Amino acid sequence: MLSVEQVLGLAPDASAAKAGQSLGKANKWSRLGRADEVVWGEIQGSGSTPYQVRVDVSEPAFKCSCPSRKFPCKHALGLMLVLAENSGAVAVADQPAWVSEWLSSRAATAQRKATRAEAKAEGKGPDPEAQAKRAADRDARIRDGLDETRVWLRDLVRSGLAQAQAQPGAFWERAAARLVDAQAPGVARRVRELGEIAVSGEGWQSRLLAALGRLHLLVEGYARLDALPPELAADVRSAVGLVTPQEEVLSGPKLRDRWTVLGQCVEVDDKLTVQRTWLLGEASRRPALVLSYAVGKQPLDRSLVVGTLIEAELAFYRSGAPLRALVAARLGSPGRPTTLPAPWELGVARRDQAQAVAKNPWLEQWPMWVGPVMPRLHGEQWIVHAEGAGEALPLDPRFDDGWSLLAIAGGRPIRLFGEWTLDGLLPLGVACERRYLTVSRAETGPTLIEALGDAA
Amino acid sequence: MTTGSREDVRAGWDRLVASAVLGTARAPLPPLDADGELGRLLSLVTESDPAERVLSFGALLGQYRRAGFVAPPPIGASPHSTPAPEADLPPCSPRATRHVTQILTERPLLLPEWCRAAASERVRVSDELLVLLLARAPTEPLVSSVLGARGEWLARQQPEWARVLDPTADLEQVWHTGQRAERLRALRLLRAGEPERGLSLVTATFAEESPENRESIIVALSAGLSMADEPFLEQVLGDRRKAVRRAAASLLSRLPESRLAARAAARALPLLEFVPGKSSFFRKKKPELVVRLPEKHDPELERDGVEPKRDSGLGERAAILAQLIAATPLSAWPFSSEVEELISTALATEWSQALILGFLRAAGGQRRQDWAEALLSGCLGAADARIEGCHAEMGPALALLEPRAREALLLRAVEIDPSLEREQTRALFDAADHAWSMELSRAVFTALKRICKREPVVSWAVQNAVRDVYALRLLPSLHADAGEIATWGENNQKLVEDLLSTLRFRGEMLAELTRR
Repeated sequence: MLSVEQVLGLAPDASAAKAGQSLGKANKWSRLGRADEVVWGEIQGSGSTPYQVRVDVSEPAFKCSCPSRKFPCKHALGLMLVLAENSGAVAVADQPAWVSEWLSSRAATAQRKATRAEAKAEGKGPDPEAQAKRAADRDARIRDGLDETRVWLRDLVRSGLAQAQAQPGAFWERAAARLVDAQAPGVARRVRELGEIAVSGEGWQSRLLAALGRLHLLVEGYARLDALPPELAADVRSAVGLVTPQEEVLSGPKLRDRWTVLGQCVEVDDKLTVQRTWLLGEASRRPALVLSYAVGKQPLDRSLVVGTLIEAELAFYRSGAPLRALVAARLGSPGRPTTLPAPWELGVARRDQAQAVAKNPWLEQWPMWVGPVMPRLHGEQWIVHAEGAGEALPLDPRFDDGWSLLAIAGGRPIRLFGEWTLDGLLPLGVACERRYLTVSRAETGPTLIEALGDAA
Repeated sequence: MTTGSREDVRAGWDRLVASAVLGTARAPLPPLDADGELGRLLSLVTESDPAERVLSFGALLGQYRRAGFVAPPPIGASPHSTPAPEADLPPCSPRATRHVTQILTERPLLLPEWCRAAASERVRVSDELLVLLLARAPTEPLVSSVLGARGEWLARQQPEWARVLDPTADLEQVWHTGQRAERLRALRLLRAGEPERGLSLVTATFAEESPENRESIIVALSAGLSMADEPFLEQVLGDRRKAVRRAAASLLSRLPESRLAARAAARALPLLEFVPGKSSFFRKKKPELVVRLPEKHDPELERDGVEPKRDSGLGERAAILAQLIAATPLSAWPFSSEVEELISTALATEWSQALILGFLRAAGGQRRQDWAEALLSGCLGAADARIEGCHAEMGPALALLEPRAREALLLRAVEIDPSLEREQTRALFDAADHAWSMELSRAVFTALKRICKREPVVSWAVQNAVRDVYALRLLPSLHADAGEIATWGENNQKLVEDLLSTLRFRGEMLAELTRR
């Protein structure tokens, strides 16, 4: 059962959220009903016939007959808000035909996907020979591209970083574009980022050299791919931009656990939107990263909601520091956790991070769930530190609301969830007393909002 | 780099970066080695090409530093680590937090009402909103009543916010060293609490202030105004700048015992002769009002801030009359026991505008409820009196009255102006910032419904009044009586939706605060 905040968090943008709120009153709806995990209702829109809205709360998944391209649309949001605030208004009832039809078509799609995945895993999919040839061609193109990059890197270091910094943006863009042509998008992105680091202000020289070093490792790593241990090779391939097919990951070992969704971060790079959702396994104490991509205005995956607990089987991508995972199977609906998992001490978390970086040098974010820690302003920089004379960690300067963190902590220790990046810890969730607040995506309003809210 | 200690690694890294910045074509690469495991790893770099060596060392040391990063713990105590007080108002509910968020982002005019209601329910805003509210505190004084002990603890951590809590601290400092806007604010705050101190600060530095500053400073003295300020203000009447003189005169005319008021009275009393009507068994004698306009030009008048051209719409001599009446203490008039009769007589004369304007200003400035009520009542009763231009003074007059008296007048205003179009009506409602009764709300609500149905497009002025005044003051429960939006007519749908949604929102936000 989602809280109001969680429902609003699903909204694709502020106007949908606002419109959804005005539709969240039971008296605007007719033929409200629910059965098991499905909720439905009809609402009058601007058309002549009312829109039919269905929501499957176990995912959540939505379907509305309105013409809007937004996902979820304001009607779906409104229906979920009615459920969140006034669940008594939605009585158990028999499913109308338009609800059962949706459910069966979803089941059929899921079945088709499963069969296709099985077929692929068994090599019965698209011609395996053709696939192997495509892979070999791509490998050759990447190697050529990286050979160029090697020369480019050497020349850069010969003429010096100061000279590189003086170059126009096109200098980096051209090199990145060549790598895109060489089908190595991960390397292309890192080359583009070099250009950003060069103009990132104080300390750029040190940051640029470190980034160049990592890029150099990657280029050399790909050249020696066959000689590397399999986990390291997997990390190289992943960093270069080679995607392991989902079927392959899903056919590997799975980890079943109760997973708390601790945080979510959305970043836009060029036209590609990336959503990182972080989970922590209750029994295994293992973190997991679920990635979701969207191009342009496509909607992002909304099936994992921060502040919920879901029992699931996860399949991890191979890596020296396994982190990225796919949800292989959901076992039951997401629920509200009664307690959050125990956090790690700062020192322990830092050492874990060090181990992970040692195994996968191209790791860009490492999840940290730490506590008890206190936020504090140290000169101009916000940090969190353990009580007493313990360790400290700087917060990533991209988080610009340390004062709200302090307001929530009130001079007492908190538990903090965030991504450890190259610039510090980027907070994504704060637990204080019995509340869990997450970093809001809205452009206006508070930076931190309650995840669990006042769900009944 | 020898031992691999943190400082050594740092030094080695810095040397590496320095040569990378210059480029290996220009600068030789310094030797890099270390003891122990790090040294062993460094010795694995065997490339001959210097650029490749830099890249490899960069990778190795870069990762070493990244993995081994340890931030030094902060030294010393910090107020951030001192716990906020336990004893505190309870934070508002999550739903109320959502309301405040909506207020801050979409409905800023509702913030005062929310704060007032929350304060009376002894509730504070939730932690995550404190920063946003502290940002509003300088412009919205009610915010400080919903901060709670947690908010005050937070505010003390930043000097900018701390001033919200204790606005009178360091005011003298600000006065002597601050920017113009800060100084004026500090003066107003000081005058609210300790007017004499404020006055002494002003008098000490007045001669050196720039002309613009002088005018604003005099205006700021209106807070805490008393006869103690009279000597100084009388002096300021001699200022070189007209605007400064005018400001001082305006303040002095609010002090009935001032010398300026006495001078005004001496000039004004001869100009009006009122003989109240007499009623006897045989006949009724009508009241008589004789009005003598003053002479046009008198340099002494200018010194006292009287400007013939100031009130457009009045002839110069009529304007002088109005301004003299405004500065005359109302108690000085011999007919002050027959106020209603005087007013109704004045309204019937050809000089009604000057007279009413003058008396309204006097009543507002001298804070005389009796005159204010009588004047407004008279104006509302006189359908065809020529009193355009007086509406600007009606608001301050209404503001003096108690809610009961106000409502009687407001109900009358709606009765005689059901289209709510007249400037007089809008001026009165603008000043009606008390909690409206159901009777008044219903009267206005019904009038609005009629207007929205009837007018193809409601006038801009009334639309603004709906958004800025009526929607904020009507009792929210009226929203339940609104009926379907369709019953409000087909025109003006957006205006009606905005009005009803504001009422509904206000009802919800207030209900959430009182819910237990």
